[in-house]
Amino acid sequence: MGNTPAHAAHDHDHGHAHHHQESWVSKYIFSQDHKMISKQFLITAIFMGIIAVALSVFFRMQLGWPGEKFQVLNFFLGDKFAPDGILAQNAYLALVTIHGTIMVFFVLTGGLSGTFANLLLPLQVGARDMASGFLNMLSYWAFLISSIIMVSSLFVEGGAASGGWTIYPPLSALPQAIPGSGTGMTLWLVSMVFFIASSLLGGLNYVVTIINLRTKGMKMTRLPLTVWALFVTAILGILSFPVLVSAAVLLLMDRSFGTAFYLSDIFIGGEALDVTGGSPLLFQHLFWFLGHPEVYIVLLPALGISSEIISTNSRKPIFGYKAMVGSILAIGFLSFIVWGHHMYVTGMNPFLGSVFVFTTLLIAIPSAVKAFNYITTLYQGNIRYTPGMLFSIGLVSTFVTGGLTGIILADSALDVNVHDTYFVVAHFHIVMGMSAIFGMLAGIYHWYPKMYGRMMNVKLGYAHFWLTLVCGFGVFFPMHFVGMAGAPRRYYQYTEFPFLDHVMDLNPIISVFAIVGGLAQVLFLFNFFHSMKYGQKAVTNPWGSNTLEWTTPVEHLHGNWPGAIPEVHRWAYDYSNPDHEEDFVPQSVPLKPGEHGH
Amino acid sequence: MADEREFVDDHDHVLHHERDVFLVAWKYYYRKDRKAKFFAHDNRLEMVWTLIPGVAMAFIIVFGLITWNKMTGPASKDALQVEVYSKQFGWIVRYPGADGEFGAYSYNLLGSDNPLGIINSNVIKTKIAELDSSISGLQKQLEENKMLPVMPESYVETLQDKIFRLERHKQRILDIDEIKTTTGKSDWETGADDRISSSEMHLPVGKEVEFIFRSQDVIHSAYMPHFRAQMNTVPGVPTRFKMTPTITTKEMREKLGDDSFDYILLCNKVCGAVHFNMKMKVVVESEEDYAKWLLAQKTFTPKKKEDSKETVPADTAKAPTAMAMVK
Repeated sequence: MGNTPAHAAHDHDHGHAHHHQESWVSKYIFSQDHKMISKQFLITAIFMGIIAVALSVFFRMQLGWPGEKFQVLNFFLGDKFAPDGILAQNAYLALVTIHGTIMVFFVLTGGLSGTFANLLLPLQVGARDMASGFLNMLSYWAFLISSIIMVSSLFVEGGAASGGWTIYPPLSALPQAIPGSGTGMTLWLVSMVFFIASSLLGGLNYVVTIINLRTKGMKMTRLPLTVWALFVTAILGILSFPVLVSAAVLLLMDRSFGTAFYLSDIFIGGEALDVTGGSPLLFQHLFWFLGHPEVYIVLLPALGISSEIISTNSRKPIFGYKAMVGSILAIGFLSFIVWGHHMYVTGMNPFLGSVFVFTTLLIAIPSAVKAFNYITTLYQGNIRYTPGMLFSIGLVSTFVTGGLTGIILADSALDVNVHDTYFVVAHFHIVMGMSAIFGMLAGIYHWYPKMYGRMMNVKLGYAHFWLTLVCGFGVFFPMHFVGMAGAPRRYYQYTEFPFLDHVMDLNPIISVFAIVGGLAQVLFLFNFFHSMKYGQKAVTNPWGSNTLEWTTPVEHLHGNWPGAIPEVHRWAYDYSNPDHEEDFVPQSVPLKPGEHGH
Repeated sequence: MADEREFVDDHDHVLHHERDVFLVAWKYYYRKDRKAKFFAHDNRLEMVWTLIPGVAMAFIIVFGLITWNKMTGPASKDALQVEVYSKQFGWIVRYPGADGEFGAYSYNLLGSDNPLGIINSNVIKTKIAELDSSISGLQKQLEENKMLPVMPESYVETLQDKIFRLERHKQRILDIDEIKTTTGKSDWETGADDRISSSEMHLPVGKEVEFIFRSQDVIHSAYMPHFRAQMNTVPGVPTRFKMTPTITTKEMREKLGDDSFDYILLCNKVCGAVHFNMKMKVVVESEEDYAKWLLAQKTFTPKKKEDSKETVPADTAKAPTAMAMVK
């Protein structure tokens, strides 16, 4: 037995989907349907992503050609932030800060978890909708409000927050230290409060749905890996985001109410500030307690998505399902006890640093297991190279590359030389700006037929993939060398240091790749929006996939299945099973007499 | 000949691997008439690729932490101590004087004449007098306004707030404790002979130096990439880092064939608009040259004319006391 769908599901079920009287507003704007909400998250995240990419193109122009005048900069940023077409110093830091903030939170958390948890969880566990459609709707609207506030912070007088996405005090606490720490920083904090509320509402919904609303036969051990990944991600978020809230509340108090949580012995703006006894390290501990699990919140859904796509398109079971689940759990648990590796050179007690070296290197082990399992899944497969498949394989490749530099950074003795240099920038962009984004793009290409009932154009998809892969490596690989040579990050320009001259020849090259790579995304955007109306109409199960979402009709139904919810009899990975003629066997297909299911 | 062949062979090796990737991609390309290998799990394989990374990680942990403990352990008793002070947007370095001790400091005493906030009774007296005169000036304005109200209410409040803050500042100064150091002197006096430089930092080659870092306003980071040294400077929390420079600037210039090379200290934690240009030249030189340079730096309290004629011993080996002075 091992599974008990909640009685609530039975009560609501009545053997057929609900037929609400839906107005245009309740269907498209204030929807409580998980499929519509997932598309809302996706479209909002795409818009935020366009802004973040644009910001990065702007500051890469400054870095590649310092002192050159660019009319386009003045056009977008105005006379205050790009006078005469040259990016101003404070504006540079503001762009870098908002770029990072939008990418980590709005694109890779809201756009990954928000989209795919909403789309896939009820469908893949066999539920009519999320546990609470109402909270789900609130989760999206909080996300939208948060996005609007964050973008609006770019337009205030002193500029947006400028202390990096990590907003360390005292820089972020004192408007005298940098103009962006005035209104811009306040808006950042308000936006994040809404964002965190959205994440918490969403996360709670996802956890409850997975635990309570699985259909008959959907044991935890039969869940697709995507569900496992999104489940652990939701738990990570629920446990870690509140700590960021506490960090933000204390920061708000230091900024506005004269407290001294993070401040002590400061002389600035000609004045000795009347706050003593606080420590900036407190903020860093609180921030990174979220900050580290956050990057796994970014990565795990991408890994879960790729498991599905690689397995389906190799026509092979994902290799080592139990080990994959175990790795997800191990990564989830370990992600809570490694945060100090961001703080090796902060003046923290070195012994504490050693503890974090140990735990951080431990987390490399389940990550390696996953990488090996992905590769073995491909081994002797019957492989279809769809755009989604290419991006998923690309995720595995970039995950290995970025993961290896993570091992170097985990070693505190080595980190001393590369902390806060471009080496770190290379590392996290390859794992987040390539791996995780690839996971998101793979998911979009693969589940587009489920979201929009049409197929995306394959040729455009291939062009998008190859351009993005090449440009991504073109931007971020040289940064390893730039960083090892000693180039700090968050520098407005590198013209002041003769010892960096030879490395700075790389800057224009990186910038060219960044601009081309940014423009290449137009291929994706065009494909995405154009195919909604003109893409080839999809069939119910275009990929020959086993999971339950492909048993629902192409046309969206509130309540997902027109009749009863299917019962599940096997795991999600019977691809090329020798006991069956078809090279795939959906989860809802009963066992043959004498067959041992998984 | 052999070397060239090896070079070509190595490249062939790499090219073969690239070719193999495409071969594999083509060989396992989807065909309707075949099925993939149904290979769902293999516990032995999982063991292998869990244990091997595990062993590799164990090695990295052990050797990494041995190095880390050496790097972060206590400095030797006769290490040179140098205080590196950071602020938006520059550095100031302080060396303990002949007494071998740093003077105490307080951020409440910072001013253009006291960029490090070093304490002594004169400084305190002067600062208190300064604050008193500001306070009485503002109070006078308020008195005048009481007799003939011309100021808007908000401006009155601003002045009252200013007075309150100045009083608080004064109180913080009065609260500063005087501590006896291990040598029995007061830490309000040990700062008199400290030497300060805001243009360059010089270090004697082959001698362990322990940096003590302070920050005036926001978090900065003292990064010296050539020495593989880095440590954040945190307002309110002194931090430290020790190292031993082994190659002089002159030797390094010869090594690199670059006459303009200089070691450098740069800021490596975002700290504001000019974060990208916050640097200080670092010079590593012989103990002799270093001692000469140090004596040429100004002390916190400028000595009287007669005292400034300090002798530099011709041969430092014969005059260990001179080095002890500048320890």
